[in-house]
Amino acid sequence: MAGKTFTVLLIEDDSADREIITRVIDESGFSAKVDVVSTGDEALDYLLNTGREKGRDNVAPGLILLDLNLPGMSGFDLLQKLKAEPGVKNIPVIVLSTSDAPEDINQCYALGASSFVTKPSSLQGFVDIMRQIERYWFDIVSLPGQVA
Amino acid sequence: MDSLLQFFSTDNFMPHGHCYLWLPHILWLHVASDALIAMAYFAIPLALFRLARRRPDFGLNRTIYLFVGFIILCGLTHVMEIYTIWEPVYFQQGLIKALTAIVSVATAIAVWPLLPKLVAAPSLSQLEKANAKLERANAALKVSEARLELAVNAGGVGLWDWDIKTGEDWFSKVWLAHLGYQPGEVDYHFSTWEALLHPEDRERVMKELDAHIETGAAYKPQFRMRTKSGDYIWVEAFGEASRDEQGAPARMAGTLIDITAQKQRELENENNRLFLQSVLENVQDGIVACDEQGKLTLFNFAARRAHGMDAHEIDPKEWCTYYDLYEPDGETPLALHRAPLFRAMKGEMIECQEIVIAPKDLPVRRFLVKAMPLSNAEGKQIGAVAALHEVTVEREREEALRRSNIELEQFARVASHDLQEPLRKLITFSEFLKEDLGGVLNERVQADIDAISDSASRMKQLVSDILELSRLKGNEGPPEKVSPRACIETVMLRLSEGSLKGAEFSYEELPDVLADATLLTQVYQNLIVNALKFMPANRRPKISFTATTDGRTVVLGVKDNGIGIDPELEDYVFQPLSRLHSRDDYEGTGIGLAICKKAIERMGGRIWVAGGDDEGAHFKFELKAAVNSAID
Repeated sequence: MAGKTFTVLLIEDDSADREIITRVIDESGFSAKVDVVSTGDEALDYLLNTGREKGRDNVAPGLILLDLNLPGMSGFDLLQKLKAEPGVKNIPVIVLSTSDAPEDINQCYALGASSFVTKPSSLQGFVDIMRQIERYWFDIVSLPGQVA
Repeated sequence: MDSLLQFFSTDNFMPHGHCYLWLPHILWLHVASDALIAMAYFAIPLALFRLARRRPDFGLNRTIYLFVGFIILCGLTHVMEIYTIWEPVYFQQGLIKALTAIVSVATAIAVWPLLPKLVAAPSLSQLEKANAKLERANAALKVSEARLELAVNAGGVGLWDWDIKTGEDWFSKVWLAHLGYQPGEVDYHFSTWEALLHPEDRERVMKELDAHIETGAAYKPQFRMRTKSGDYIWVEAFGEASRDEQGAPARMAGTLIDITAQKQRELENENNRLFLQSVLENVQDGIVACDEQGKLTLFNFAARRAHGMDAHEIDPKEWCTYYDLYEPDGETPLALHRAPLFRAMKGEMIECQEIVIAPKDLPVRRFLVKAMPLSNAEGKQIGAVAALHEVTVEREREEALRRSNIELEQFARVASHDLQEPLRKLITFSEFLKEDLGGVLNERVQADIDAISDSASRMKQLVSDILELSRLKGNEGPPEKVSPRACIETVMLRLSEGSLKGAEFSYEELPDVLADATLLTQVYQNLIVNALKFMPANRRPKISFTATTDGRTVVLGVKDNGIGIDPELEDYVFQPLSRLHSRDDYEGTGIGLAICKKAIERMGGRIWVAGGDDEGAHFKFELKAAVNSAID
């Protein structure tokens, strides 16, 4: 794969988790550019180029990594909104959660999530998962950003 | 005087014997015959005289005395016949004959009018016949009288006969006996009866009596009378007055019966009715009954309270709207064919139907209704009855519990998420720390970081186990036929080769049970993992799956050759987070057995542990047997 062709949008409010995930992505040799926002509103602004992001003309990400546990607008609410936006609904959303509650998992898929991943507690586990995400989403499947 | 003497003189005549020429045989023939005739004539009047004296009822005395005179005189003429044979007193004889003639003629005259009377007089045989007939009638009358008396007495019917004009009042033996008196003990007068009337009844009875005498209205009062002992008895009188030729009330007679027992029964019935009414009014359940037309015949206090009103006569078709009946959702108005009392009226038996009663401006109440048709002694349906048991509070409590359970589950989920997140970060950052500090670490730093990471890992495991316990759910369907062997095999597939530690498994015959397959598999998994875990390091695990059954229940077991459990600690081991061993010896969070207990109890069974330290542990749990797949 040539260079950082894709952008990955990470929606994560927790600074420690942001640190962990960006570090894990680095370590796993993720070939995509990672943009990070911390709230649902920021995510919408980013994706729709509204509010603070107005006029920035962000490139639509090829993949969204969504933390469920967000302040204000919850991850579920945001997921629902993303799937209602014509320009955004085709972007695969991978839910990252500490929870492995079946209700959460079911609800995420019902709302249109592409995958549900429980955040592993070991560093190596996390790195492995990120490698597999990269391999699957960037090598195996075709993403909407590629087509554009 | 001389002529008179001359008149009686016999000097000129010869005795009558001369006519017989004094021939002795002629003379004595006459004398004897006349003597006998005279004697007979004197004897007959004697007999007649005695007859007249003895039987004055013949009414013939005057005639008889005439006869007596006539016959005596006849006798005298014959005496004179004898006397004149020797003394020629023909004049005296003629006088007597003349007297006899007069009496004879008189007698002859007196006899004629008597003749038809004598002819008509019954003959003796006729009299005998009549007599026999009379005797028979008399006997029959006696029997009938006795019968009547027997009937009247046996029926306890007292008789009375009141002479309205004089006030005399006859009371029969039974009449008196009712009141404890003997005949002759009371004054046979109206005032006696009046005095024995109960003061509270007197006015009413007198009014009825007056009304009867005046207008002929029925006289059949029930009242109390004082007995000789001073107690009161209840009686029922009946009487009818009759009038004299002038139309004035003259006499009144009738009966009197003792109805104390009947009154007692009436009183008991009334008491029973009052008792029942009091029970119905005070019972907490609403009781509503109707007749076969749907007219409400019972609507007790609890029913009135629930509806906020009393029963009204309305068409059963209007019941649901009029009485504010709703389905359990509290919103759908109850359709007529769903109204319990209406259903029961149509012959249906309703064991338990939940309804809501929501009258305007009153609290909504929930009821479990039981209703059934009512039948009389002949089995004919005469209506229906419904009992309403209020479950408002229970339902509210259940709802609160349900909400609280949901909240608890939500809490557990959020807590597990929120609790696990920092732990995960602790672990991850511990690893970052190791990386950041470079490849080679001071041994103490390495140990410290490991301790942090280890603690965080264990806590994460705890939270995760507690979460599993709180989430424990089966298929949430009714229990089904489950093969324990199949569950065990599922577990075997799940466990890794390494974790089985080369264990040796043995199976008894495991009968099918009524259970939830998911839960039963979970139980076996936890028990197998436990058995493998609490095993001395140098021992080869031997695990046997046991089963006993009495046909109704099955006791399944998992027996191991491990370190065993002190039976005294049995209760303790099934509590969450309970651990018998230090973590350095045996790993575990103490959740496994708590999960087993919860799962077994959810399936309606129980779990316990048997066996001492030496023989390893033998966990047993009891479940319902699946007999011919029939679920009762």
